[in-house]
Amino acid sequence: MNGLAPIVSWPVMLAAARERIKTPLLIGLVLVMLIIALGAAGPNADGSEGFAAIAGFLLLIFTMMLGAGLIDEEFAAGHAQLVLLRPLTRAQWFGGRLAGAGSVLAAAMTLVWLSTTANAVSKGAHFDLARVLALPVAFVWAFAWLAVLAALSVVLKAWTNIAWLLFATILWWASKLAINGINAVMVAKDKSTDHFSQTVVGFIGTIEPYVCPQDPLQIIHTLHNGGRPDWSPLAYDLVWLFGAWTVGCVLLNRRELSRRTT
Amino acid sequence: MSDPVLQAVGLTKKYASAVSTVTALDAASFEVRAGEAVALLGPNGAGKTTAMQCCLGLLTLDGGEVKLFGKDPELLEVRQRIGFSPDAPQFPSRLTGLDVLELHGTLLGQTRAQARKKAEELAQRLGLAEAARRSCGGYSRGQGQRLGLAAALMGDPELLFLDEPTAGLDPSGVAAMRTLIADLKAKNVAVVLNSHLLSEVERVCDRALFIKSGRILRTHDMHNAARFAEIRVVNAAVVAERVKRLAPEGVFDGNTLRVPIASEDVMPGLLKMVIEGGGEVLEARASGAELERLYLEIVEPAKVAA
Ligand SMILES: Nc1ncnc2c1ncn2[C@@H]1O[C@H](COP(=O)(O)OP(=O)(O)O)[C@@H](O)[C@H]1O
Ligand SMILES: [Mg+2]
Repeated sequence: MNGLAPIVSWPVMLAAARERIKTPLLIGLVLVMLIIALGAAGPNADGSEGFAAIAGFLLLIFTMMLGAGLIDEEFAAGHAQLVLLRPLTRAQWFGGRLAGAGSVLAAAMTLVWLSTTANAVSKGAHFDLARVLALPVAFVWAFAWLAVLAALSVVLKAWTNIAWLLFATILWWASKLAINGINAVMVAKDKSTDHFSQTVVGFIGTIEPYVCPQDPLQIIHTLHNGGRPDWSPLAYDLVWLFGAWTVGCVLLNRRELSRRTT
Repeated sequence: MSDPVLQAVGLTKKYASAVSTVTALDAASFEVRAGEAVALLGPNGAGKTTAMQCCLGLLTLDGGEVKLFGKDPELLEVRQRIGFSPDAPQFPSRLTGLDVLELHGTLLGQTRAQARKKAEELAQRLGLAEAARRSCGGYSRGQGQRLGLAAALMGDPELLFLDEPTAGLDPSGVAAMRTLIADLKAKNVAVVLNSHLLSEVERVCDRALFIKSGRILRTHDMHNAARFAEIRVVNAAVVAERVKRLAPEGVFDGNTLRVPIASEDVMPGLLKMVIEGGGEVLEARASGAELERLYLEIVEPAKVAA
C-alpha cells in the first residue's frame, strides 16, 4: 500500500471516507441496494446481480452521491486551503479524496456482494470464477465514474459536477435520438443514395463505447456461461479511471487556493 | 540579530474580474523574526488577509517574493514549520473537531495515537473539549475559530499566521488568546496577526504594520512608543497654570491632563506636582503606545481632521 503514498495521502483518505460514510442518504441507498440485490438473485445468478439492471442503476446513483462536490466542497469551506498548507502535494490530496470516497464505494459494494453471494450459496451455488470476479470488475467500472466526478469537481462548483454529467448524458441521448430520427426519415425518402446522416449515425455508433466508462458486466455473464469474455470494457474503464485521475490532478495544480472572504 | 523567519519583498497582488481590477497588495515589504509578534492593522479591505495568503503561498503573486525560513513557502519542509488560522474557517460538516485535528496531525507526520492525544490536549486548552466531540457542522463562529486555531497549533509551528483570531470569540476567549500569544513568543515562535482589537494588539505585539489599500503606510515599534501619563482631575482650571510652568509639553483634554513621558518611573513625581498644585486627582495612569490614536491618524487622517 505504501507504494501509493506519492499519489494518495492516507490521512486525507481516512478523513474523506469518514465524512462520506456519515451521510444518511448514502446509508439508506445501500439498504435499498441490498434489498433489490437479494430480490434479484434468481437460480441462474452469476454474481453480478447486485450491480446489474436496476441494482446497477442504483449503484451509479450511489456513486454520483459519493462524488458530488468531492473536491470543490472542501474549497468552498476553505478547508482545502488549510489541508494543502500541510506537507503534502495536491496530487496526494486529490488521490486521498478520491480514494476515500472510493473506499466507501468499495465497502458498500462488498456488502452487497457478500449478501448476494451468501444468498446464492444458501441456494446451493457452487464455486464460480464469474462470481468472484463480479465484485472487482463492477468496482473498477463504478470507481472510474467516481474519478470522472472527482475531476469535474475540481472545476465545477459544489454538486454541479453531477448536474453537468447528467446534463451531458441527456444531451447525448437526445442528440442520438434526433439524429437517428432524421436519418430514418432521410432513408425512407430516398433509399438509393448514401446520406450524410448515415455517416453521422455510423460515426456515433463507433465512438459511443468510448465517450464514458463502459459497463463491463458482460464479462461476468460470458464467464458464467463458460464462454471467452471480451475484456476490453474493463481495460477502457481502467483507462478512464487513471485518465480522469490524471486530468483531475493537472486541473487542481492550476487552481488558485485562496477563497474570497470579504 | 537572528535571520528573519519571514521576508516579504515588494508583494503585489491584483484581483482581476470582468469589470475591474483591484490591487489588493501594492509592493508591500516586511520582515518577521523568531519570537516576535507582528500585527497587520488596517480597515476592512486593506489587504491584510491577502498579505497573509501571499506569504503562505496560497495566492500566486503578481510581483515580489516571499521567503519563509529563507526558503520558498511552497516547499513541504517549510510547510512542516508553519501554522495558519484563517478568518472564519469552516470544516467538513460531518467530521468532529477531533477528526479534523487528527487529520492535520497525521498530515504533519504524527501517528494517529499521537495526533489524537495532541488534539485532545489542544481542544482542552482552547475550550473546545466538549464541542470537539461533536460534528463541526453545528459549530458557532467562535467554536470554528477555536478549531482553526487548534489545527494551526497541531504541528507546534515556528511561524504562526492568525487572521482575525479574536473575531467571534467571547471575552474569556480573547483573554486566552492573549496568554497563548505570550506563551508562543516565549517559545520563540513568530506570530503574524490580523486584528481589529487594538488594545489586544498593543498588549501582545512587538510591532504593528499599518496597511491601507494594499500599501504599508508605517511600521510602529510598540517598545519604542512614546508613552503618556494621563491624569484626570476635578479642577483642571486650578492646576493648569502650574502645569504650564512645570510640564510645558502637557496638554489638557477636558479634565484630563496628558503628558508625554519616557517611562513610568516619572509618574509619582508628576502626580505629586499636580497634587501640590491643588489638583484633586480622580484617576491616573501611564498609557502605552496609543495605538488607537495612531491608527486613526495614519489610516483615517480625514476622519481625525473632521
Ligand atoms: N478573491 C478575491 N477576488 C477579488 N477581490 C478580492 C478577493 N479577495 C480580496 N479581494 C479584494 O482585495 C482587497 C483586499 O482584501 P483583503 O485582503 O481580504 O482585505 P482585509 O483582510 O484587509 O480586510 C479588498 O478590496 C477585497 O475586496
Ligand atoms: Mg481579512
